[in-house]
Amino acid sequence: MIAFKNVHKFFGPLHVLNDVSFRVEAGEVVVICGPSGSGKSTLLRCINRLERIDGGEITVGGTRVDDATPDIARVRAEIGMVFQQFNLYPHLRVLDNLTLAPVRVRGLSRDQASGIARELLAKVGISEKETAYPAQLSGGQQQRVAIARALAMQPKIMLFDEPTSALDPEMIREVLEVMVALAKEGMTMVVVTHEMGFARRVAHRVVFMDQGRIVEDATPEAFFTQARDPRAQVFLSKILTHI
Amino acid sequence: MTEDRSDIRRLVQSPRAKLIVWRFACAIAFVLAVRVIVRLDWATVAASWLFLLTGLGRSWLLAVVSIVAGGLAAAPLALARVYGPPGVRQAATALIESVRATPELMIVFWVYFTLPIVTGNQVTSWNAALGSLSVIAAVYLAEVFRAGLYSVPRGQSEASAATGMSSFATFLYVVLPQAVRNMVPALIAQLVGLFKTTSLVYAIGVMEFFRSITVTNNAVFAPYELYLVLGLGYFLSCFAITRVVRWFDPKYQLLE
Repeated sequence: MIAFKNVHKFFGPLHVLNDVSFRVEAGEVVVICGPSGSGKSTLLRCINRLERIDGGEITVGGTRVDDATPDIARVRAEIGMVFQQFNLYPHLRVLDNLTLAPVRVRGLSRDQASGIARELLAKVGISEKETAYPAQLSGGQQQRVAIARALAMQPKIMLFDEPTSALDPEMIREVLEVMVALAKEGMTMVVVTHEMGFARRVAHRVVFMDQGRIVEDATPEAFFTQARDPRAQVFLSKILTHI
Repeated sequence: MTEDRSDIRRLVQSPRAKLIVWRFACAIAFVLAVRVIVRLDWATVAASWLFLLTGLGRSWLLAVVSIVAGGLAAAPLALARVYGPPGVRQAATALIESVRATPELMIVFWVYFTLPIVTGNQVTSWNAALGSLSVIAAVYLAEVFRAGLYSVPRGQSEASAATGMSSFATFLYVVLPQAVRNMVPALIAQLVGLFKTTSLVYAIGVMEFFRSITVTNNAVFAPYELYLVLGLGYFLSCFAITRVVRWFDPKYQLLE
């Protein structure tokens, strides 16, 4: 479904992605973790070309998404994305946040799009807020709306860029529960997160990055019990003591 | 004895007492002001009310036309400065910065006195006024628009792009509505400023509000009355502009 082949990316002199190759199959849930600055968010953002790459090749569903693709919007329509800072449209009500892209990109009627949107809001548990503005919601509610907004395009892949990092602890759970339910439905998901409990519960694979390289790519069980790379061991020892 | 005095001090310093004193002072000031105003000779001013009102009307016409024309020019100017390709961007920046960095009065003079030398045709003072005020409005409004565009966080256009929206749709439905709302305070300040700037064309002989007040004063000599009217006229006009802009977008504070 997603394939990286020898991908390189620089921010100035900084080599943020260094010869990255990896694959995500349809229906897989892959968690990407690693210390900050390791390139995990950049890797995720390359999948829908929010970041351009400087070398290598990326394909999504058989379509090249690096610079060779002229019509990136069509590829992006099939890839949902959830951001750390939610990025809901503050000038639109919740329902309109969900229907904007289906109406403008898919060409659905407003009624059709609203129907889908209401189903999704029910699914993430905030039906009663459809006429609220984002500023009137809690962080956890906003992130669940953001997930519903991404799902409203009925994507084949969902990308999550540290979806719980900006949330208070009691709100992290409600967002993770939505993500777990999504994973159990068989959605293809790539999740950048530090939530190791989530990784253990639903991930098929855990990818560990450090300094722009993928240094571990294993099942959660193998990753948590017998990580080979010393940097992964250090990372785990730091983060697992807090669970 | 000392206890009594501290009681009195506490009473005087209480918020309630302060409010009463303040209101009392305001009332006295108001009564005095009214007495002075009533004693002034309003008959001479009243005689030229139509002339003065026409002047105020001209000021409004100048303001509205130059703001509309300037606003229409400002939009592409701001877009060029923010999204334009190299070359276009620098040209827009140079134009905006050079007009902003020179006195408005000089722009008025340039259009009125220098343009005829270049084109060979005489420019009427009214057209020169409209032209120069439009240029001034264009560059100042362009900067307001630009600030509005920059005020929308990058994450907004990224979120929109990630759902497959084209860059044009992203601009139209996501960036622009937020930019416009964020612009409102700066826009009010700029429009009020532009209304007051219309008084500059007084210098090239346009009979707008400021000039009609001065001309009337030269004829009848009633400076207190006339300059009170002048101040009131500009105040009410600018106040109206503020209200009108807010009326267009009563919900803009909901953004945060």
